[in-house]
Amino acid sequence: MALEEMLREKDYDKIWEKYCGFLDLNIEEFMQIQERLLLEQIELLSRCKLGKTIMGENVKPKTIEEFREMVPLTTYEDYADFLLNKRVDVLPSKPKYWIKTTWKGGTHEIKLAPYSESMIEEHTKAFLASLILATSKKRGEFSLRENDKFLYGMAPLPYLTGLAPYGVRNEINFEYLPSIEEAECLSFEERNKVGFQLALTKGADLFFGLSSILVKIGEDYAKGSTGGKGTFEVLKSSKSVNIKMLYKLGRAFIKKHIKKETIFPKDLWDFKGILCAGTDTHAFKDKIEYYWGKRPLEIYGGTEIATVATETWGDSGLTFFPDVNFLEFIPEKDSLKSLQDKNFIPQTLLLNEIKAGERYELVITKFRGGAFVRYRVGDVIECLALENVANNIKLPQVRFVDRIANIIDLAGFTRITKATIDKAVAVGKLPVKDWVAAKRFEEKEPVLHIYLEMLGNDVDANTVKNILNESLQKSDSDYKDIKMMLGRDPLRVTLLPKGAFNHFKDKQNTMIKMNPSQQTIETLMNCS
Amino acid sequence: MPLFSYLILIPFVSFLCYCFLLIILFGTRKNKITRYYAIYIISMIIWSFGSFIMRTNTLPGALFWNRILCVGLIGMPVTFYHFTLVLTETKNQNRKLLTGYITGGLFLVANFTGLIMVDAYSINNIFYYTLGPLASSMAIWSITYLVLAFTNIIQKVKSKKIPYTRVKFILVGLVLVIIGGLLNLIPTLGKYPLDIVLNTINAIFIAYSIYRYRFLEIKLIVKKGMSYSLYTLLLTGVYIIAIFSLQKILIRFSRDINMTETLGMAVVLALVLQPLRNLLQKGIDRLFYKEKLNHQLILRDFSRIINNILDLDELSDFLLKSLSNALKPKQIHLLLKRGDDEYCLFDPALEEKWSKEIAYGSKHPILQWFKQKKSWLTINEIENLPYFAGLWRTEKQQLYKLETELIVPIKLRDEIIGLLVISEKKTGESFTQEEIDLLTTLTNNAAVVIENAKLYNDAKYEAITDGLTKLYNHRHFHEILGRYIEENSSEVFSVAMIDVDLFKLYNDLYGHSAGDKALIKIAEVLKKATRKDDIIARYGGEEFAIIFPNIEGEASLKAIEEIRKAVENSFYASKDTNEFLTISVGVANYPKDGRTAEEMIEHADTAMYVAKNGGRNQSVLYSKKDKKQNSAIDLCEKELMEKDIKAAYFSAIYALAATIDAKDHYTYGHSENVSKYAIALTEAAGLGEETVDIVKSAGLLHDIGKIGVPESILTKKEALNAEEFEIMKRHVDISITIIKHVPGIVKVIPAIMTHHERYDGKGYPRGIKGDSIPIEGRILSIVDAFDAMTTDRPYRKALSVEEALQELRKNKGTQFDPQLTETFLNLFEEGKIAVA
Repeated sequence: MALEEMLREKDYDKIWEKYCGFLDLNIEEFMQIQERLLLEQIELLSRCKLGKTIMGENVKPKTIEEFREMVPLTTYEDYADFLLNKRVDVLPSKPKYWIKTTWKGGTHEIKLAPYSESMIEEHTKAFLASLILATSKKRGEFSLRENDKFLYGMAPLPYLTGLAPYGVRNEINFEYLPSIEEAECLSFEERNKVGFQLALTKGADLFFGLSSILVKIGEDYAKGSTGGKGTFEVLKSSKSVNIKMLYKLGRAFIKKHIKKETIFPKDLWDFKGILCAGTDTHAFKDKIEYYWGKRPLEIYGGTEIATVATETWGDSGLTFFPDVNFLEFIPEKDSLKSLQDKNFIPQTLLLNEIKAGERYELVITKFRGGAFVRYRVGDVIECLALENVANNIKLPQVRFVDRIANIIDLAGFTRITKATIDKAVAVGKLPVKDWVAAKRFEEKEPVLHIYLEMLGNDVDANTVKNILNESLQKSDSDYKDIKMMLGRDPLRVTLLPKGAFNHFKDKQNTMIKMNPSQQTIETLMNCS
Repeated sequence: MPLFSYLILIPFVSFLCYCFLLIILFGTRKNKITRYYAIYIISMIIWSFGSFIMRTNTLPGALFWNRILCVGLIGMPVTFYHFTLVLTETKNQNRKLLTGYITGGLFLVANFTGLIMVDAYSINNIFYYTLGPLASSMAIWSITYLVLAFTNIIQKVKSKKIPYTRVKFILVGLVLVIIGGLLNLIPTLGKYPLDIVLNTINAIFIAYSIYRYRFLEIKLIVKKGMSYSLYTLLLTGVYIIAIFSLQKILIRFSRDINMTETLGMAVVLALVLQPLRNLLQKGIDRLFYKEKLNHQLILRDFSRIINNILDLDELSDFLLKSLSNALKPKQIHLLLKRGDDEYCLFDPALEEKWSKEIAYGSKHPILQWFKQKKSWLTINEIENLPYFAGLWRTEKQQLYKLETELIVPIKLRDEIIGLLVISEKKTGESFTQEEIDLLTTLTNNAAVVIENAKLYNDAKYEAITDGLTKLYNHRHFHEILGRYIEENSSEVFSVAMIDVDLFKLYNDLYGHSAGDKALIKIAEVLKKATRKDDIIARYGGEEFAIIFPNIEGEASLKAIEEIRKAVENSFYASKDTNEFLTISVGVANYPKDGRTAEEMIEHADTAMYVAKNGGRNQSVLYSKKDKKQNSAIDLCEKELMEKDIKAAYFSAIYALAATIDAKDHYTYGHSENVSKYAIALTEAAGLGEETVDIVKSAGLLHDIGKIGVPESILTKKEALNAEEFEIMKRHVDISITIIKHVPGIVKVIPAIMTHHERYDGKGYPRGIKGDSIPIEGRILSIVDAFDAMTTDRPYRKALSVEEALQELRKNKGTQFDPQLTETFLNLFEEGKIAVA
């Protein structure tokens, strides 16, 4: 029975059980589901060319242990030939959609991931679970309803974020702002603009988008740049403002123009649930709550891995979905070691083996006929606790920390790699001897900090920063979007003293260019 | 009392019925259907109440009560229409609905302003009324909405969104209501409350449909209580009317009725009405408890019959039929425990009773669910509960294919011995608690008997089955063959005898466990390569036998040849180079080659030996000449033949040795030396002539596999790296692959296969140790190492004899067999052997 029918029947308990019942599993039950679905996936893989290529001819592990012993860890390079050529004939199951993402630092511009019918079903179920949780204050109680107005501020198909509405429409009707069809013709920026414009007249119940966008809109209201005539002009231009919004707009008008107070988005909208994705969501949560009056619920996913985990209540962490991916974890130390030493093969842990307070690189095997096997996603998570006592969840609670050290993700907009910075240095024709780059947080907001040693003495930090900024915008359109849409300057530049790198290399052998340790940066800055 | 006076009771009974229905609704789970049905019922309560009071001349008068009646009359069509929209989940008729409510509202206003009913009064118990100007419009409007409701339901039935059976009573009731409405347009009939009678019947039809087709989950206790209340109500009504009428009739005959007479009448009526009471009771039971009565009968019959059945097929068949009869599902399937850890579909009606279309291990989530003492499992639970998130897509699809609605365990004490997979009912209804209770009772009753039948079945199966290959055993084969001949089941048939070539050698080489696996594999190949009707048996050891019904002559030869090829191909296709098994097959035809079972087997056996003697891996059709040949070959001829074979055998060896020579002179010289030393050591160890022959040939051939090793590795001056050593190690396997195809020299395979094994088990390729290594292999190992040490190698100079002997001494008991090493050392010490 579809969610819509269950809502009509007011079967709220059954809805909760179906979508959020996984929160009642204990770790043993969770692992049993993982094992069963892994065996199903091995069966599917053993019958297709992709599976045979990755696992080996005639290799068909019968247990989790055998699987971890016999099947190698993989990266996108292992799949590129098959997937980028859309080789349907080699896949474990027939794909319905090919989901796309950019491949920063890869051998090609993009990555493609096939999604079969049953993967879409699982993804939809996970997405709806998150949506239900976003509108829920406690276990079993939620306010998600049919025809809720849904401000959907995410990229359309072929990106993963665009897949959910297509799966969801078989389950429940929402009024999307703007409609899915219209949204597909609009750019990312326009879609958000049109969406909020419509939300001013119709109201909005649900939001799914990048947390950084919500912060930017909140800030604009706080500054008065949007909360002024832009908001109230809607009353003139639109004929169909609903009564509730008319009241809210009227109240906001009084607040702003009569009481002379600042209006915030929370004065205009009363969201049932805000769902946020993006690497730095945790950094923006407080601001979103301040501006929007509702704390966002974070979900974690990705093109190759679909929706992997969701937050529940409070800030106690995310809980993994049991039936989307087979989960393995490489301890952070081994993950870093393997980045430096390509011959080092790290061992993985399972969800029932990870420890609280430790960080891990995530490795997944896609269930339900997916393509990726023991795939190193490139994300680092931290296990916050082995269970969530406050909310009675007996499963490990995790936090998405960041991309692995060699990638710097900024607010979910772009992924900066060594190649991106090398290119920017080359495009800007800067006389750079060497550089290192690290992601830092300034007032809880992510910035890219590049430390450079210049060949000459005649360049100042500001000039270098401007040139780098310009060339980064030229060479990376996503980076440009941060500037354009968020109005932020995410770049920091520090010039290192002469001979810093030589001095460092004399002392130590290896130099990590992306996200080196704080100690490395300090050593570089202090040596002369 | 005139007829019109009794008509007063009709709306009264209707009123009671509607009140009764409303009370039932309080006992149901609240949802949209109940809500809108209740609103419709309230309209009808107002209508029937107005109609009843109107006829009693109660103040303020008939006109007032008639207008109250009209409130119900106006409310009914639109609320009923709304109810049908909710029932059929129709969402696109909101405008019509809204229009209905608005017009209804306007008619209500019109009603109280006298536009619908101008006057109404009762004279001599006859009810008269004068219609207002909007009365006919209201009637048409009412009928329009009832027709809309009707067409809406019909459309849903046509588009198969609702099964006809679920709404058939509602449709019939609706037709009655429309007829009742039309009658109102005829004043001569309109004065009788016929419309309300028909409406009451409609309400009862709806109530029955709701109960019968589970539109609502009415609590059992409420159903029972309410149905008996209805029965009591009706009976009391009839009883009172009867006494009242009788009294009036008697009064009409101018008789005064005293108390005694009234009481007497009551007693007589009670007696007369007793059959009516029984009839009503039966009617209600049939209406509400028909299934329960059926269930009791089914349960009684089932318990009586199952205890007399021991045959699993018969028992399962009876269980499934009883359940089909009781529950009327579209499909019902049985999964029974097979072996220790598997639950498979069991269909007694099929020839192949066990099917793996659905096969659950004992750790399967569905089995685990029942192990947690759960009594049943619905498909909704499988779809919705996270506990079942681990179910494979194919597993879910199988359940959908069986239209599964409910799964119930068959439990014997705490052990699950089977599962019943039940589809939804033919009527599309859900299962009731009573039905699930019946199911549980039947399965509980059946559990012990099924277990006994299964044990009996297993015993029967084991008695005729070979434990290893799961084919029929020798005894059962004879039984079937005897029956074939005795009953003349098939006019012609063939019997094939199959012997696995070199199986003893295979066992010696790879061990008995590998031998067993090979026999299982051959059995599988035989099953695949034969027809469904062919009878395959393991005749004994490495022998199999097959009966091919309706096949003779060349066709039988063709059949066995296909089997032979299938076995050959299955081993040839294997990636394991060690697998070299083939079969020799002989076949005899009935009745041409024999008329008794013994003759048939003997002649097929003869043909099989002809195939063996002809070089193995062959199929031979029996002919009388074969028998003669087999018996006529005298001893002298046999000796000559053996000599010839031996000569051919040695020439083959030398030809092969020459092949090595062509590849590498060093290897050839080495092989000759090894052969010579091996003979000396074997003789010194006191082993027989046959062993001497074997080591002589094995010595010459032990490195023949090096033909397959690249020269760059063979002649490499530096020590081999790990990868190169792996390639070098493969020469053992390659040797076997070459030799196994040369007839007559397969005896050397164990020696060659093991000449790189070490006494401590650290050698290759199999890592066997101690006496598990064939003695020929242990001999070759010593002499091979000795010769290698005492001759120049590309990568080092030769050691002296003393140094080499010292090495042997040092590795005695670890690399080499200590006793044989000692014997070899003694040969040198005693000067019985010299370096070649």
